[in-house]
Amino acid sequence: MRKRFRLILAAAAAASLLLSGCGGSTSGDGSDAQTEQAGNAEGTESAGSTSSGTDTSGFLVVPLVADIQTADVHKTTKDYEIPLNIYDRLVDIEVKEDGSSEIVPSLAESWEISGDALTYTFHLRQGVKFHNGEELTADDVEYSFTRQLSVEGAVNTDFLAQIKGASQLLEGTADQLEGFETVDDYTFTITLSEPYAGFLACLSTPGCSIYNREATEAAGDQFGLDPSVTVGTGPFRLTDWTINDQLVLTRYEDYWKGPSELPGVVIRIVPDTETQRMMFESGELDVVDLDYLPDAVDDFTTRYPDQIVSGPRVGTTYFTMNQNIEPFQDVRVRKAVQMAIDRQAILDALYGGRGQVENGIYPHGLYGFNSSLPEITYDPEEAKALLAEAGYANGFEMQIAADSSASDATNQALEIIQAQLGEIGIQAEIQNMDESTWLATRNSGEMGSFMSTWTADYNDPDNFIYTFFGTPENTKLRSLNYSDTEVMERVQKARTIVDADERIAEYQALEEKIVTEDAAWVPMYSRTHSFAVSKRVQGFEVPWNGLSDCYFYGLSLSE
Amino acid sequence: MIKHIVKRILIAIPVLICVILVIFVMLRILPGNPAETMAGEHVSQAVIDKISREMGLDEPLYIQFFKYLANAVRGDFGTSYRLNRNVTGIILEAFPNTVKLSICAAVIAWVIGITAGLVAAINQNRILDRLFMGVSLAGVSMPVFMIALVLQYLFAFQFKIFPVSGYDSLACMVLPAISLGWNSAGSIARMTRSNLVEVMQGDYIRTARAKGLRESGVIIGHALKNAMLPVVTMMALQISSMLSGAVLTESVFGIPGIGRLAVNAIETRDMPLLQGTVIFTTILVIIGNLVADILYSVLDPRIREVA
Repeated sequence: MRKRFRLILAAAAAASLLLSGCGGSTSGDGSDAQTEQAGNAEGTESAGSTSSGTDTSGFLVVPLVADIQTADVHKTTKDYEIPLNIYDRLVDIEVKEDGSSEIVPSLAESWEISGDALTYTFHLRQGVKFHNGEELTADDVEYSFTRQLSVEGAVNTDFLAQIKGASQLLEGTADQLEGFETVDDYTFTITLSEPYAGFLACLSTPGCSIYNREATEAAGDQFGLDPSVTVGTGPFRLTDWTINDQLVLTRYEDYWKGPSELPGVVIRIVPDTETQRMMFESGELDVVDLDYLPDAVDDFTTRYPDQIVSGPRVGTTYFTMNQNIEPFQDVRVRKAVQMAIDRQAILDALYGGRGQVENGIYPHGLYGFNSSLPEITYDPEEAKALLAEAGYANGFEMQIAADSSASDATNQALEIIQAQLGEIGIQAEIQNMDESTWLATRNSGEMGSFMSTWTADYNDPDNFIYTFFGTPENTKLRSLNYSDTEVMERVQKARTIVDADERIAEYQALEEKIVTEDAAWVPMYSRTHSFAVSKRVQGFEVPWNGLSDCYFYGLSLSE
Repeated sequence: MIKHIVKRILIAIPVLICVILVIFVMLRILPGNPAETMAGEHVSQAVIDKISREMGLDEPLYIQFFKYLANAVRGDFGTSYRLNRNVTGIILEAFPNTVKLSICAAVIAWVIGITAGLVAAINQNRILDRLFMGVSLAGVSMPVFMIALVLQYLFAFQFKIFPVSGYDSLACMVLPAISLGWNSAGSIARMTRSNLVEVMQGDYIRTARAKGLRESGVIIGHALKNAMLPVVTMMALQISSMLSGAVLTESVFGIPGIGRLAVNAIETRDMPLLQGTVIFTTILVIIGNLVADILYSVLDPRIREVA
């Protein structure tokens, strides 16, 4: 009898010990302080200290909905927030007042392009130090680009594919990048296999960040995973990473542009967006991306009008028609679909009109955007007439595939489109699929139609038109199956046009041919990207390319 | 006794292998290529093919399975697609947070559950009994995520007593632990009450009273001890329901535990990580059942003799 009781007592004692251990890991001022402060998004109190002991008081606190895969940007195409801030690129994109943008120097101080547009000579900035104290040289750039093309798990290879010898590295038949030549410590040349005007823009993408040879080689496969060995030249160092909890960026004092005003950034992983909203309102977060909080946008705009920062999301939402599927090979049918969809109504209904209707391929804010494209008008009567002319007076049946992981708004838009197509007699059936199935079906070229958004990777029309209409493989990969090979050849050739004006003119002509004349897809809209920012944050700007990933250099906090 | 335990462990091995086989096959008959999902929209098909090869996805399924099984036996569950790290390491890093949450929840469940059950039994069919049993019914029937969201909204957002999310202080743990423990508290309270009411009618209780013991002595010293037998085993069995509840609680309150890992893995089709978390959870449930089994036979000599 006694024995039994002792057992239960012992269990209870052990349990209570563990319970008291729950509170043991903090050093006090952390979360307790957060519970006492007044909320209302006035400003976030110090984030306290992290479990690993980095002092994060005075740090900016921002959320991410999911943890990142790696900070090694050669191995991810999604997680750019850390790479943007801990590494630098050779060149940067700068957005001007009027919304246009240009390529500006970063690690490369200047460059010259040869007359045949094949050879780029770069001059590196001198005295730039990596976080480990090593000085940046041309050797580091060569190492970075070689690794970007050849490291196991490399995904950001497309941006460098134009360099001479890149394909041999990709295939593993070479271990050196043929087109890269080091002149001296601060000068190198890159030779392309054929002229490619979008090359500099490619180099500005986070994927083309510059690593330090010594540190990266020493880190092995821990590079990008273990903060202590993940080294760049950027304004912040990655100092702490607790999986599914938070990442901590700490100011790099020797940054070549001068140290950031922010002492650091705590990036909290908060998958539940309703929780994000509550955290922002109670002052636990400084910035929230309103794209994740569609229900809160109106409310926030009224309650914190001075705290909403907006900019164009450089991305085109589009609706597709598969030309391998009956009756979409008929241009009259495609034009009828273009006219049957009331795009402004969808934008108004789902996004409160925050955005702009697009009539082409290149969205507002992109280099080469054409404001004088013929407008696609909403005209169901004319659409019906076109259908009748094509022999489908009684309409037809079609399938629209919905990705269940897409936003609610995207799937609601499909329902509106379904209803609008119904008005002209087209019976559209919406098929729900999980993300993997959706991708696999689309990539096989057999998806009836779908709606998605392409946001710019780099600031050039090539990023859009080549992806969708550049090659037969590309157009199949998006289940468009556009058939005009002549146009595709022109898209490929446009990459090699040296003269900038001539190239843009060709891109705009191709855009008009594909969208206005051939009606190869339905351009929908580009949206406004808004963030809610706490009052204590100064200098917040919306990322130019429509990513949710922010660059924190240039921000400051008022106390 | 030892023989009994060994037998139970041996039975667990085929169960585990079946679980591995089922989860392995299930994940692979789903359409879609994880390399595609992993690489995202903005890369070319050539890159996707290359990653598929690097991930070993081009090998026949049965070879993939036996390779996996051989590594798993050695404790190596592969590398997570999404987090690029060793699955075992990720799980072991996340596990303490789930344990912390589960223990806090369990203690809350036991303290509230047993106290409520006791009070209700003593006041059988009176107003306190009705009240407690009504509340416990609500506890048993309300889903975990609903309790979590309601608590979070009221006590963190409206009244600002606790933080909205977090896990590294006791204050942070209060709401998640209550959310997770609430269900169990309800069922423990109901079970304690009904057992106690039954036991209180036993002959030995009458004897104890007749000896002149005080009522509190009778209840705590004699009745509760006997009434707790099934309750204690139920607590051990609740490990599995705690783990499944942790999936929801951890997501709502942002606690980086096993549950969050599983949700992430499902969302991103991270097969190695999902397999790892499922196998790990299976092992925990098997251990939980084993402990319940052993506890029961330790506490009740009749079972031991049969075994």
